[in-house]
Amino acid sequence: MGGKAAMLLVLGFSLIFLVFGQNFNSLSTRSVENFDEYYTKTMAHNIAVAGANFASNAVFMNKTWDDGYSNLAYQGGTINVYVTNPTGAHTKVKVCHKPGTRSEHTISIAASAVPAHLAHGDYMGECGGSASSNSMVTIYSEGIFQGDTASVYVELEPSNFAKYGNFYDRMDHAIPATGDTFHGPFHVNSTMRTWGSPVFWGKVTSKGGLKMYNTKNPEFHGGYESGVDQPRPWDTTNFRTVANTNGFTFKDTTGSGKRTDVQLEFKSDGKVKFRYRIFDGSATWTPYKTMKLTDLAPNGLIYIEKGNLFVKGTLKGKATIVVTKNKVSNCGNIYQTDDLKYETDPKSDPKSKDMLGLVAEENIRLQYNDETKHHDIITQASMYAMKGDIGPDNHLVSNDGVLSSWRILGGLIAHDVRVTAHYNWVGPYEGYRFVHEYDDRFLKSVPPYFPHTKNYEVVSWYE
Amino acid sequence: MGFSTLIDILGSTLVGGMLLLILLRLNDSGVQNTYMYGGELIVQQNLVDAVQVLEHDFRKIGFCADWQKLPDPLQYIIEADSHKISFQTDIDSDGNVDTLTYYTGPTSELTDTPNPRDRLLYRVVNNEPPKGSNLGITQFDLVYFDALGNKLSCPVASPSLIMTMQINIRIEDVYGYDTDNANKSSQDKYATAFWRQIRLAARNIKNR
Repeated sequence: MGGKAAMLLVLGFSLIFLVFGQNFNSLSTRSVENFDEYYTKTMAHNIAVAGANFASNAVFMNKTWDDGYSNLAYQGGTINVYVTNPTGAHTKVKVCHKPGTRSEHTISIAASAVPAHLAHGDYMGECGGSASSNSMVTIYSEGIFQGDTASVYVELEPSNFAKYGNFYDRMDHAIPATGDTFHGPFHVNSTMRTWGSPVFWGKVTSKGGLKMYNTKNPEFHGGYESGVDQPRPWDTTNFRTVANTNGFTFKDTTGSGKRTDVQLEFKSDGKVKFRYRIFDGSATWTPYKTMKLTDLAPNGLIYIEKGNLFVKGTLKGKATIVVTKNKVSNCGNIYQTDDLKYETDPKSDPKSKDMLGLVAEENIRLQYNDETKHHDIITQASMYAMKGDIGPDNHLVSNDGVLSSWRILGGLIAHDVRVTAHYNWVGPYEGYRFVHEYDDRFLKSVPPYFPHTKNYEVVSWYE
Repeated sequence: MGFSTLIDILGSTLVGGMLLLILLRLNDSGVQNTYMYGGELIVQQNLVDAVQVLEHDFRKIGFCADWQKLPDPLQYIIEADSHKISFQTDIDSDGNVDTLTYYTGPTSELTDTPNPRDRLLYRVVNNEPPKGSNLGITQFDLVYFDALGNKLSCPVASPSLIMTMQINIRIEDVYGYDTDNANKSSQDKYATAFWRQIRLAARNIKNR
């Protein structure tokens, strides 16, 4: 009797432990499966990111690239990349990919691939509300790993030099140091050097790495990236064409290519007062003429061929003035002769639509005259000096022993840095204190036809 | 009933009793293991769920379907502390900028659970009421690094300096097993899982 009971107990508990054992195995398996699922999702995501990186790099290297990738094997998974590029070489068809899912996006594919996409539920045309700007390149990258799919969507826009607060091909004459504060994106087409703890509020990029001196503690609020090459090609053909089409061109109309200097004053009522002289022997100034900026140059581009510009005033509207040298000596410079500012200050009203671009083949200078010397000077513009630098005239660097301030709202894009004052051990004692603020509007919009960079930049990354 | 029968009964009772004791002990051990295994599975599932939500949200710091509405990377992270972060993003990809905040509540909010360390992880979208879930989070630490890889001290005075971040999460079973037993270590009472995301870099921070 007792033996039977013991047998029954053993059998009963054995059965229970079998259930326990099964349960333990199940729990362990589910636990592993849980992380296995996370692993495959993470791998699919990483593969999609890799595809987006490959494609972004390809567009960066060749702005017409739109090949994409089809079933590219990578890290045990597969990459599919669809590129929509308005300047691309291939004829493509837009379809709405994976409609109704989180991965829904408009992609561009070859006509031959349309049937396969329609078969898995895509439909022809753009997904609702996803139309992008005409200049935008979009990359849709799909990573597939062991049945899991992840996607990354990237948007790239042509970049413009006006977005920079500071841009220099080289920084041989001055380096950012403790006490210096720079606003807006900052780029150097050589090695970036810092002394102590300068503060950079925008993203800093350089072609040749970063060299830090003294305390080696620069503050990069917008981040730092090295190995970024941003060449500045000088091609005036487009400027000429645009100015001749709907802008305005100052040049020697006799066809002998003589130097042409222009004096131009912006008026706060949207008009512009100007005169010019051609160095054809007499070099006499024409009488002043005043007209609306929108009548003079409806598209906002004023082009001075083989000459110099003397400019001041208060701008109402948008304009870019380009001054070329084109191998004629003493040309290609812009001289600011007095304050140059906007009618509506974007610092007090961020919706201000006034915007100025100054583009010189050589230098941009504050001119030494009665209006500038010993006075604080205001410059509100994005300034671009192709082969030279931007800053005060030599006499203003000493400023007759007076220390004034040069207040800039905009950007400085130049070949080299120019010193604005003379310094002793406590700081500047004569010349111009450099007070630079960045015009945040240039992150989104730029003066008309301001020089653009060679490459696209990533403006949005969705993963 | 002879003497040998008595011996049989006594012997079988003794053996049966010993067997019963062993089986009861095994049963207790089985129940405990089942509880702990189940707790570990729940903890790991909670961890993966929490991590997936965090990764999804944190990778979108600075993202907006209409990028022109969020052009300046300096403004992406609004507040950054060791247990709290607030940033701009576009939660539903509708082209409107949202503010998303993550923070942990105090342990005193969860006195109903035996685990003394668990706390709510709150996710707040814009000005909506905070939504917290008790996933058993006992640690939610954020560590921030600047562009040169230097660790930033918390609270970060200038969140614009942040380029990458590290997220540490520890999740524990909120009920545990045999929690009143003072002889047991905390690790034996509460199943625990830990996850660290090293150098999470939201791509939009590096744009432009």
